[in-house]
Amino acid sequence: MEFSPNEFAPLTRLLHLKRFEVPPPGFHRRFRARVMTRIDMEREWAALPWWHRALATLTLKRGLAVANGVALAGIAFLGVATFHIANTILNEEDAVHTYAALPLPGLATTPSDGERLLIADASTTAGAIGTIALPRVIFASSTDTGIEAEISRASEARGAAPAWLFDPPSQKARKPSPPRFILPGTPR
Amino acid sequence: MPATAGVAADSAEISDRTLVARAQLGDDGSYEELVRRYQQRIYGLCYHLTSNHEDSTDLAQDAFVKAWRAIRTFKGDSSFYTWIYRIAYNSVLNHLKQRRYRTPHLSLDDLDFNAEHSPDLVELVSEKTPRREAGLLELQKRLNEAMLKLSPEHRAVVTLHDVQGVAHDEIAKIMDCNPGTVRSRLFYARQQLQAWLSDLSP
Repeated sequence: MEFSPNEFAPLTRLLHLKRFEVPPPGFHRRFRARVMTRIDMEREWAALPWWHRALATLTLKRGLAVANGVALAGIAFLGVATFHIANTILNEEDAVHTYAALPLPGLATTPSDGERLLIADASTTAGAIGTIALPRVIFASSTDTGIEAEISRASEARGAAPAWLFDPPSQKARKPSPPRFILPGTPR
Repeated sequence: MPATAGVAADSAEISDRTLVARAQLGDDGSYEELVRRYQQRIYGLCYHLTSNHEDSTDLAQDAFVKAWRAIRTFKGDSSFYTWIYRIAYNSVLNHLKQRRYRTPHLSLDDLDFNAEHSPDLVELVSEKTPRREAGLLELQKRLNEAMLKLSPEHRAVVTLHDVQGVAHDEIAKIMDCNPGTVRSRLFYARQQLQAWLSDLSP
């Protein structure tokens, strides 16, 4: 492409003025010092262990630090949630095993006093009392059978059910305890 | 002091090639000398392309730090001058792609005191020219605005050739294109600038 060199002479002279646009005095001296300082810092940075550089990079900028904080919080939340879910599943499995280990269906555990005595359900027992007037007591441990059986025999001899087992007010006063275990799939 | 074309070092000084070789061996003093030699031109290139003092300072620093990182890979196929210019030019292009232009920070207060004695300036603001009404501030403002209307590639060609006085072939190496492309870009850019600054022409 050919064009006359004088065609843009005025413009070229005008553009020459831009050569005089210079930064403030002392700028270039400071500039050189800054460049060399940055180079020194680069060298020191390169000498750091990789994990130190990675940590410094993660916390270098505020935005990056916030993002990392959010990510860590998310990971912690996921961890807690996963632990909770896993714990729930384990409890449900324990419930299944406990239910399978119960000696008889229709029996409820009595949580009071830490006794290991299993008694019949109140309604079943009431029905039984009405018909055969005998306490249907089942002992969980054979070591207790001596005392308990003796009490039962004594009560039987008196012709009445043992008061400590079948006192209606005391039965009513007992707080209904919620079922300890709920089988999976059971409507709640 | 205005930037001049070419990099032929004074014979009394150590050549660029020697300084580069020393810098490649880890001599920081040699690299600092290279920075001293070219900082004004590199800063000028960045400034004329961005019209922003802070950005230009950062970009010029980045260019020298990048060059230091890569100095061991510099094989001397081109001059150090062309090489560092190319690094700076690419940094500025990336910067301009990422950010929109900001208001220029330099004003005529920053003009070199010698500018007042420049024949070009004296002629431009003398009473014999129709541009006498355009003050120095207005002149610079209009010029910078017109420059910013150009694309970065065209602005770079005008800056390198008309402001910094670099030859076509050197510009072609810096911009990684043909000398013919440089000439056509220069012609188009001048046409555009002349049209935008027509009211300042005599």
